[in-house]
Amino acid sequence: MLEGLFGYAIKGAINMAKLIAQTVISVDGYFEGANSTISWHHIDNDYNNYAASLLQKAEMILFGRVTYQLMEAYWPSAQAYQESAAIAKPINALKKMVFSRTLTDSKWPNTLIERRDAVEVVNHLKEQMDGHLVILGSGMLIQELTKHRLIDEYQLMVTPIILGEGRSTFPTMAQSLSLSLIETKRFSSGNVLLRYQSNEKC
Amino acid sequence: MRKVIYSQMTSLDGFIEGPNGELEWSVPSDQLFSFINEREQLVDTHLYGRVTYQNMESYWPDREQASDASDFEIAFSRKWKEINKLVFSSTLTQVEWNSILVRDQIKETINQLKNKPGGDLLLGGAGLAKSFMELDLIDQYHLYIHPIILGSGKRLFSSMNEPKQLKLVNQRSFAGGIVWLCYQRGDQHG
Repeated sequence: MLEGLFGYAIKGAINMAKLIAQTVISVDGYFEGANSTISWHHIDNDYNNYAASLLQKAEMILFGRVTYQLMEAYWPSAQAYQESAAIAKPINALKKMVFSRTLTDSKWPNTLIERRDAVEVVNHLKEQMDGHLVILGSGMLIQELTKHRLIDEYQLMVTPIILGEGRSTFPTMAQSLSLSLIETKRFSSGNVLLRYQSNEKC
Repeated sequence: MRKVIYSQMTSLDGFIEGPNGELEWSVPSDQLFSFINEREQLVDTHLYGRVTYQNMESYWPDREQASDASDFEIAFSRKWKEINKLVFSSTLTQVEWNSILVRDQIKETINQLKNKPGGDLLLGGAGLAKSFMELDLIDQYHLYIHPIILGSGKRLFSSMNEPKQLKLVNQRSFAGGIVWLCYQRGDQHG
């Protein structure tokens, strides 16, 4: 770390962690259908390979409670290792943080339950850490962090379905948020990955 | 068989205009305009609800003669005036520019048209699209996704009771970060 007058400022500029939000959405922008259904998500080998490479570069995974509990119930299992070892290995090994005021304990190793305000904590994490912080699923968390312009990159896996009803990945906001397209990728399932960089940083 | 195509500029969060009708974020570049015109070579009929018809009719006819119109606008103005148009409205009494007014029986009218020889039918308005989706009349969706999260506004898709399964047929990205996603109806629909 560089010392001196400019030391602190330079550390901040070089070492800020990048926050990436990755989630599956419908064509009408919902991450969850009526009755919290996610059975319409199309998860195949292509998707798993993509997810594995995203996790390879992650320092930590951030979750909202709902996604966390779904994943906690599956990824540590022998079945997960059999079906998707390429994801099971990194996802179980990585540091995980779940934002929740109601969860009392976690069964997933390497997990920290964070009760404090997500916006404050994420700001702090971005300053203190390096590399990639990845949010998986966690639509409500993505909504909140989008409002505060804390997400640096969006990776949206668009599923070929119009749900008609559900919970929106994006919040209601007074000010629009401008993005730059980084990449698009089409999968044989009909899923399309859209990657965007946020043009507004906090 | 002729296809009904719903084509729309949209924000990433699924709005076709901002809360105060803002549209400046969706203005196509020449490259995109040219692509859209190409896509619509096979279209010989436009389908409008009252609002879209009135918006189009108040703007396009004069653009051919306007001194500030781009080449694309001039070409589109000419095409728009001549192309067959169906205006679905139970309140309008008169329509112009080669338009036919349809007061009711949307499904019957469209099915009859689809069974006749001719080009594709292009649907532009969100209000009419809602009726068409409820009646399961849309065959293809052409979505031009702009790199912006608007935060609120007029929705691209209204709420529906049943999901619609789609099949991705094509996609492309454009300078400026706009992504075109082309979907056709899923296999389960009759």
